[in-house]
Amino acid sequence: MIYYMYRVKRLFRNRVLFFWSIIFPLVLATFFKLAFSSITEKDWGFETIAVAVAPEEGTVPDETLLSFLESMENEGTAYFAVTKTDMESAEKLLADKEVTAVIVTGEETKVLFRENGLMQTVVKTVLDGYLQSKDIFVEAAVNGKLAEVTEVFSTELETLKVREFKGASKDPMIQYFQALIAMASLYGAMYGLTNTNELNVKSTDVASRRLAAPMRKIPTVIVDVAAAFTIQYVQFLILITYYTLILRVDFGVINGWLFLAGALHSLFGVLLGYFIGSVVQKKEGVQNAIMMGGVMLSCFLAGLMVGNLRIIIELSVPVINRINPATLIADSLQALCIMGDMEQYTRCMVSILIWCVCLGIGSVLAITIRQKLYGRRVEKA
Amino acid sequence: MNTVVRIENLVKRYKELVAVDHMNLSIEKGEVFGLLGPNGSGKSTIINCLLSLTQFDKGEIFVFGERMRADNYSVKGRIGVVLQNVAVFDELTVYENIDYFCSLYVKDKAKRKELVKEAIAFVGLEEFVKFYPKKLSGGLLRRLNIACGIAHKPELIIFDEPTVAVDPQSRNKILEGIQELNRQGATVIYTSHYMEEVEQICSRIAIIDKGQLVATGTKEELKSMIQTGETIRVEVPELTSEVLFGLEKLSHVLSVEYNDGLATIKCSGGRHNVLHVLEYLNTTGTSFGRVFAEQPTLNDVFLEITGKELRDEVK
Repeated sequence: MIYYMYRVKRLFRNRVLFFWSIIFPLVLATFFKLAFSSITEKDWGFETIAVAVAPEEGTVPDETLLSFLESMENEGTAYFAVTKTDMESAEKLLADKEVTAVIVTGEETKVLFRENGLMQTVVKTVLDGYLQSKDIFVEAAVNGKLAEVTEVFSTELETLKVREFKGASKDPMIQYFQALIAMASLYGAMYGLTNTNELNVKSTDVASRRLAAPMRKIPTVIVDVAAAFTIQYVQFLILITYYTLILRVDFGVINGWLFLAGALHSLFGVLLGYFIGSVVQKKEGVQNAIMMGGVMLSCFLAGLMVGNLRIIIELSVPVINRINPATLIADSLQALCIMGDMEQYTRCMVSILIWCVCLGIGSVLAITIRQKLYGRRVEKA
Repeated sequence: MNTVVRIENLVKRYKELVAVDHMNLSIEKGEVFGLLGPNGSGKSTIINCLLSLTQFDKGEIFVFGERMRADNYSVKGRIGVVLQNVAVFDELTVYENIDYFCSLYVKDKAKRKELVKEAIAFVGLEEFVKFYPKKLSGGLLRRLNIACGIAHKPELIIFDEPTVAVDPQSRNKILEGIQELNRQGATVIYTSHYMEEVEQICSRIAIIDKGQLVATGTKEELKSMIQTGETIRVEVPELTSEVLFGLEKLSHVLSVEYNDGLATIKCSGGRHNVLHVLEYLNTTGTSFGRVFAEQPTLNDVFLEITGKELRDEVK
């Protein structure tokens, strides 16, 4: 027990480890919350956006676009309040801030803004989507494939309908906080890496002192893993507490499944560090660089930096989402909190468990193979 | 005497480099055994092999009569290690560090508490028990390093260059401490490239160079192995070549060097060497100033056997 207590103290009091695994995710979450709060409260009250649609001189109004914009609604509230006018009046409306944007139709459809913001982005995104679809239909009509294209569009709509949100969380920004939890879990690798280096005489001096003592290696490794896991899990609990109680992030469900997920994610992080420490026999700085690079790449692919990257990957290379640890961690939380999809949750958890087993076996194999290779070299000599 | 450590035909290679080359050593109970050699001579590698911290290519190591292996826990429990670099946790206080490393050997909490207290008193860190290592000076850190290695009262203590980068005051305290531990019954292996320290505390010395055992014995035995019995230095403002030649011809004189007004005369063992030299200078009318006579050092031993200075290697 005393080894465990001292190991926990040693890991917990390390300022660098403490910063990256606890302080950094908390600070980042706070920044996220501040940024998203201004978006959701100031810009995104789901108010109808006023737009003016004006044809260029000498062109006729795009009636299809007008009806498309007018037809868009959410639970009875129209997305857009459309004013059909000419260019001169439209520009005046924009100058007087009576409308958010002016859509100019003609040979080329374009959109005019006075300032940037979420509502302007919505207008641009909707317009881009409309124009893309219009191009596809026009091209299909020219090539005589209108029926096939219509069928494809109908199927996509069906698919979208299946993905109903059954989970309790309705926070549109929760995916960022889930990706942060994934990142914090992966930072648990730092504890695993520290543990391996403190049992490797080539890396640290304390390893020499520890290994010179009469301590059995396997129980020592188990105690070290337990200590690292404890800190990592406590850090997960601190994050969840801070998100829900201080930042008021709507996680939807706070139940046993969430805590189980946190435990497995924490274990994964620690074992990742063990694996890197066992396989990469380089200086600590190199090991840390590899670990940080891997973690950041994994988090990037999980959508920490670009929110919809995970969706883009799902549509283009879905296998990455099935094996990327950060995505699996974020997906398991998403399945639990947003989708209410226990099947997906289980699938993600099993995948993470397989990862844990692979990392554990990989670490042991790396050490065993190195020792055997040394033995062979000695025999040859 | 009982043999505590027996190293037989030890070979350790790092790729093409032979770090330890067919080393044979025997260390008896109650000795302070010195491993003396320049940096990179293989001292620390021998210690690492002895502690099973590194695998070796050939040979056998026996400690307390048992073959030393990484899983020989009963033998490991009787050894204490003070490593060259300070090996403590920055995140634990002085007390916690000593207690942690002692706990790797001693499970009983009450007994350990006593041992930790004794170790703290032994190295004189009573006032610093709640300090973190980063708050300690270099000398105090070294003392903490020693306390972590000896708290469990080992029968064999290995000191691997414990005085590197230590101020003279702390160095003396460390050396006195090692002698005290030896008086209390511990067998000590002391590695260093500082020959004065080795001469001061070691009862037997092994001189190592390029992984090979150059010579072993007491300091007297080692010094008797070489021709030089005495080195005389005389301040001579002017020394003619005739007088220099005459000095070289004196009986017992092995060599004479003259640089910057200082004549260095190496003599074989014999009585009245100084008297003979000064008489000769008087008879030739050569004026001289201060005269120094030195017994041979381990550096002389190293120089004569290997053809190079131990001090030069240290630089």
